[in-house]
Amino acid sequence: MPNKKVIHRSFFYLGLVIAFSVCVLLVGCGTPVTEVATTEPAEATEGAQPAEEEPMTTEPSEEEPAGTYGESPMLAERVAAGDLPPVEERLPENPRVIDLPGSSIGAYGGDFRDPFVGDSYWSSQMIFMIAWRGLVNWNPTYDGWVPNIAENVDVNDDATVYTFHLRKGLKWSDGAPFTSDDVLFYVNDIMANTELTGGTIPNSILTPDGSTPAVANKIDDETFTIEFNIPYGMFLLKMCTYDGWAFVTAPKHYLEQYHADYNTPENIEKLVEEDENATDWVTLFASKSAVGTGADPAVISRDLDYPTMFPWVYTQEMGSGTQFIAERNPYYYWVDKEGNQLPYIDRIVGTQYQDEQTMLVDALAGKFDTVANTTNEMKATFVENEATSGLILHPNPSEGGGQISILFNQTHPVMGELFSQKDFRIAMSYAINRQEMIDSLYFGQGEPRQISPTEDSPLYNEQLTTQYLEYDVDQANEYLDKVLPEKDAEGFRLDPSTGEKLTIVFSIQKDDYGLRFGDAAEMLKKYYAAVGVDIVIDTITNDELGDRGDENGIEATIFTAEGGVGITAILDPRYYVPNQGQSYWGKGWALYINQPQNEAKVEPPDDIQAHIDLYNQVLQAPTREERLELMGQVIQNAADYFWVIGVSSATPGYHPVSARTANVMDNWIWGWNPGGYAIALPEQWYFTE
Amino acid sequence: MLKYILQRLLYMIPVMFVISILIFVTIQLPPGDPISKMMENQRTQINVQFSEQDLEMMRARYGYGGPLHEQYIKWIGNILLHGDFGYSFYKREAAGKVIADLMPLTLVVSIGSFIFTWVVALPIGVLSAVRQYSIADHIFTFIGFIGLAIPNFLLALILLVLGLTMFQTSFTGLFSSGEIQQAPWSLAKVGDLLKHIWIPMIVIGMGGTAGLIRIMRANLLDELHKPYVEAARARGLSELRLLIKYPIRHAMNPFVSGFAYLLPSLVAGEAIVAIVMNLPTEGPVLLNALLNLDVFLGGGFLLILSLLTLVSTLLSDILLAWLDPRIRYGS
Repeated sequence: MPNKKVIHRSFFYLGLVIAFSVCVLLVGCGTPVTEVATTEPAEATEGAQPAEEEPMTTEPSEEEPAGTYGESPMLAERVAAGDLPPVEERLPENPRVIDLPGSSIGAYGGDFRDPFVGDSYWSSQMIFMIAWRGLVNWNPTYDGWVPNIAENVDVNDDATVYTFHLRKGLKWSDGAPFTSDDVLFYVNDIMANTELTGGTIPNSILTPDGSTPAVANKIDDETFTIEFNIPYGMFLLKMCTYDGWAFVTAPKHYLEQYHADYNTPENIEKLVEEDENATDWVTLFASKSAVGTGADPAVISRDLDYPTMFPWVYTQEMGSGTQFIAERNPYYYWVDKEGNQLPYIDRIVGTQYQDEQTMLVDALAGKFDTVANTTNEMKATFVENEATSGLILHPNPSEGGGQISILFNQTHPVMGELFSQKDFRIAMSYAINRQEMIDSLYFGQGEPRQISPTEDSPLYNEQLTTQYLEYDVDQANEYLDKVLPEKDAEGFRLDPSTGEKLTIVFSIQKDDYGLRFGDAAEMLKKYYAAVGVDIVIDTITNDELGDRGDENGIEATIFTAEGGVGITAILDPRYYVPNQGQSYWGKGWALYINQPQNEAKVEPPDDIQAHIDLYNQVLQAPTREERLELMGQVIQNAADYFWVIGVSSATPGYHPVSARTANVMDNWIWGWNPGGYAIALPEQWYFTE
Repeated sequence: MLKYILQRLLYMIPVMFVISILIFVTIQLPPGDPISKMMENQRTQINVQFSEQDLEMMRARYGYGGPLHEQYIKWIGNILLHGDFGYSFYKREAAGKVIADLMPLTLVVSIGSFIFTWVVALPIGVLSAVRQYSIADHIFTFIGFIGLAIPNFLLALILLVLGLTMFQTSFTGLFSSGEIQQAPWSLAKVGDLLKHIWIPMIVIGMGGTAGLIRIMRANLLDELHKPYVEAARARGLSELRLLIKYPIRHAMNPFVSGFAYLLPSLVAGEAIVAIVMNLPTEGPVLLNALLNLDVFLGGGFLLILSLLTLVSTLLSDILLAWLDPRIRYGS
């Protein structure tokens, strides 16, 4: 047999397979149907409603006659079969009683069917159903904290020592007692263990100034303190946000076997060998724990034995399928006003989709009880198909300080010099026809405004809200003539340093949370060309934006507009203080604060540093009055410097929930800080059919 | 013949070797690595900052890094020696398990579409050729061109919308509910699968069917007017017997050699349709693995798909040799 021919064929096969592989790769890279992270609550929906910060000490009717608790038939069966202790033994001595105005006593049972695109933990609504249940919680109106796992918290006068009193008799979802030791385990043994943190000080709410981690001290099984090196008045409110869950998700009785301080080297050696992903106890711990440096919080969605304090616990992981199931936690510490243990709904059933449109089709066919990631474009479709979908739209008050932000990176190594001139930014603001953008991009919903705390916020600043809003090409040209006087033959302005045509690159994130960054950029291109400034639009992925940001390589971008309602400006000051990852207008300064080792960092000049220090004082201030006073100054600085350009006020959002779901609060505040559905207390939702 | 097959199998080894290198390198071509992707996903999700230091620490932890060839040797060595495809950073599971979980249904859908393609294309192609320019030929040609022209994902979308607007139901997935999907295999589960699988089968097979009809028609038309057909007819052979015994056998050749291309193209086509129709097959997972630079999961998938392609090429060659003595004796 002629070998030559066979070899020849082999090359042919090879070519075929390469072509095929490349095809698959191209398909992978070129098809925009699947976004890896479509749900990004942190970016899209942050901010929120009036957040008064007065600690509410009066939880509605805490006392409850013991021995009269109701429970789900599903659990009663297990009690009868002897698999579970009776409900009286499962609940703490004084469970948290939920009595929302206008709510009714519900019926047990049913599956809450939840579709999502992406990952079972982050992109499904599970995170909103469980993660905002820490030691303390937002109250339902988002204007203060209420006790949750802790029944009370004492704060000393200078806000350095917090004393937590836990409910007595709390239990993890596996029935083991939840005590002070579990919180201590997180604070002292995980977040302050130098081996686990790799010798760094993890950036968390436990380190208010980034220098010294907080220390927790046990007083007794139900009482412990958390002590900070500096005053930290914002601590409890920060505990109400996403950050709070980690304190109650480190089950010591489960995790200590992986911790070198609690288990013998031989035993740990054995566990390391069993784990695919571990080479030593540090990697072992990181792969088993949901909390701590390098740990993946989504572990609780894969390790079904992981005990939690959440209302629903995973009983079926998604694995390589498309569905997960979470069942009611038999030990959950909430009851309704008649003493029925919550939650009412038995199970959360999540179904994964690869494509948003497919998910929408199924939702419209009536397969689901909610759709979490909704855009303005979808709204009409939902309304038209209410009959088949069975979904009712619940309006959610707008939360942001605006709709989108236009950010010129004033620390960019090349363009920063131009962008840091206020005249340039004023001109760029005057050049925008905001009404036209609102009409064509946001269905005419919204008023022209800059990004600032909203009118009903105690931090409202009229100057910041209304300055340089008019569409005024003449004014824009006048201001631009001061900084970019020279023009070329086509009327485009020249870069004074090079003498060539000035071109600004707008790096636009493809994944726009329904805010239409790309379309907005196209409109900006038109407006800016009219005043002689040429911009180029570069559409990139989330990752690329992050990566280029970390190299301080973003010249300009369009992004979200947080910091509007209530005190969200304090919780998320990204457009007022250059200290957040998304502060693209002062990215170099933000890197200087957040990533001191990063070579692209830019040291803030004295006035900016003073501004940042002022904000840090806000976080420390022990009383609400002081915080508002200091934050008012921060906002005033933002107004005087005019770092960030806004377009429109935030348009109200909405979320579809099935008509059969009862007790859904009207106008609940949607956002990352209040926690999506969490603030609407889905534990007390129930099905009417 | 046996020697020929053995030799062909032997030659597959170097081919697979080169393919595996290409796969490994190509997946890692885009900037970044699975660890930074994983951290980046966390960063966007929970708004946490990570420094380059953290990344280095994570890379050290997971033993990821070092020169590319060392990584490659480690990867391929584990696959060959231990059958261990590595750890998927994207799925946070052993890559081998993910692949093993998804492959059966993927093959069921792909092979189902393949059978659909042949079963439909062969008779229609013959009919179109034998009754050239008849009404049936015109209708099938028309449908065939539409099938060729509509990308199958678009067809899937159209079907989904039609299902919703006309029947108030949706045609997504392979099972009635996720619970059935994740239940162990039973007769009821197979029944449920059969109820749902035909839509994806048609959607995925549509383009291929249309193509094959055209090929069959053209080939058969070439043969139908050759002297040997006339001669057979002159000897009084019945039309049907004549057709099956002589011209169709000749016309089948390109059909069978197309077998080798068909399987990979079905699997690739399946990926897009699976995303649109939300099928629990490898397509969406492979896509996401590649987007997340998950070299172990993506690489494992591509490796297995390449192997399948090689095997199906071999099968088609054997089939051809069996079908056509000219090829058999030629070698």
